[in-house]
Amino acid sequence: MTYALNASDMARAAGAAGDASAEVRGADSAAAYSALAAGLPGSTTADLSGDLSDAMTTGISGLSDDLASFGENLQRTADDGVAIDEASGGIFNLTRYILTGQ
Amino acid sequence: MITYGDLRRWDAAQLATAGDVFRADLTTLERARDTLETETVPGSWDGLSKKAAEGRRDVLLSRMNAHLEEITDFERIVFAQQAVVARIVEDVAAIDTTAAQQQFEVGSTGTVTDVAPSREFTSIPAAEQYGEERVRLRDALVARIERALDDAFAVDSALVQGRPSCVFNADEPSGIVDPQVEREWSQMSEAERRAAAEAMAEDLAEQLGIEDFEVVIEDLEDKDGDGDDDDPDTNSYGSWNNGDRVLRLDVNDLDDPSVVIDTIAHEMRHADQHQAVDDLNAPWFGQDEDIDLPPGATLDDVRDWDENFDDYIDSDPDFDAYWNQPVEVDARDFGGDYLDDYDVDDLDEHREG
Repeated sequence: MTYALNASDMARAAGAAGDASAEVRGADSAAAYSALAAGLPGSTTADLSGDLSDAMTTGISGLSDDLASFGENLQRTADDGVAIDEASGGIFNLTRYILTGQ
Repeated sequence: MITYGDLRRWDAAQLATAGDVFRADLTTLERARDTLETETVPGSWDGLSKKAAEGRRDVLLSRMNAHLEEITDFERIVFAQQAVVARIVEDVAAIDTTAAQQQFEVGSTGTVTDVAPSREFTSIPAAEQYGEERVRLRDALVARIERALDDAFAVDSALVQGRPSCVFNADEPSGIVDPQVEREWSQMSEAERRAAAEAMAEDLAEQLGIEDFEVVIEDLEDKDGDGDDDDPDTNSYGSWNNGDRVLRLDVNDLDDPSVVIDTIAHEMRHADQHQAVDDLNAPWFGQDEDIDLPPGATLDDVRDWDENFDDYIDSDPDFDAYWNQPVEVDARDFGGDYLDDYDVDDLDEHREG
């Protein structure tokens, strides 16, 4: 198994996941359910609209949280990758110094 | 339930607004989905951690796609019903105009009252002719009101049946009676309701492979017949007794179709649970694979039910323990799902027997 990671690409990916999370959070359609209730008084649709809206808001919020968490994990992976690169670079320099004295 | 007075306040523009919001949210969600799909796992990344990230991304994509699909479907239904609602609103306005012109008054419940001032006639035939004409005009208005209400209940039914199931959230409203079923049920006599309930139970029994049982509709709140509720703190909707193989329904709930339909399915599921447990314990089966599993159930579920029936918990004194035991959770889910799927075509079929 090979391992390759570009820290700036990973940071961009983490940012994209964060952007997706922020966008999703606003798309819970609560206003749509309110409009349905206002347009159809007396209907079962109107009775249900509050519960539907709440369920959707909860679900969208959970999805947004999971996207944010995904982005945070990507960022952590990027940070860890940089640390590994730096650590491995240090070992490389130390080995070279031991072998060549330079 | 929808009344004629409600229809006077229906507003197609609000459905247009709802459609606009759904479409805008769909665009936003699609954009977020595309970002997630194309920008969150860089091509320069390689290794095990990349595989793990791709797996996580795909799970999120799957949830988003399922949500997008159900909102897209619902938006289409809302869009289709918008035109019907606009027509209903026009019809109601036209009915009210005609009624006023003809000196009738339409009440909020849809009742039509003749408000024409009394008149004098010079002959009995002229009076009779006038009276007949007033009845004809009244009946024509009643028929138009009925049609508007039929259309309105069909709109409501389409929206309720097509509502999003909130794929990523278990808290969606469920166990909802179809508005057309509710309306039709309200117009049925007690004898018709009893007959439909029995046909419903027999239909379900046939689907589930349950034979030799009886439906009894009686007063479950006053079993001793003294005229008082035996236990005012509880409501006995129905029961299944596997010993005498009787499905009992409370006659006091017969006017509520959501309770009747849900209870019948719930109790028939208990019958099916018992049947599966009996199969599990039957010496001649020997092989667990031979058990005819109830819809949606696993062999582990049946084993849980087996243990649960041995230690069944009554609702009194610990209602929560009763409510959360496996056989009740499963029967409740089955009843709610059956009610959610039950539409006016099913009711018509059961009314025919």
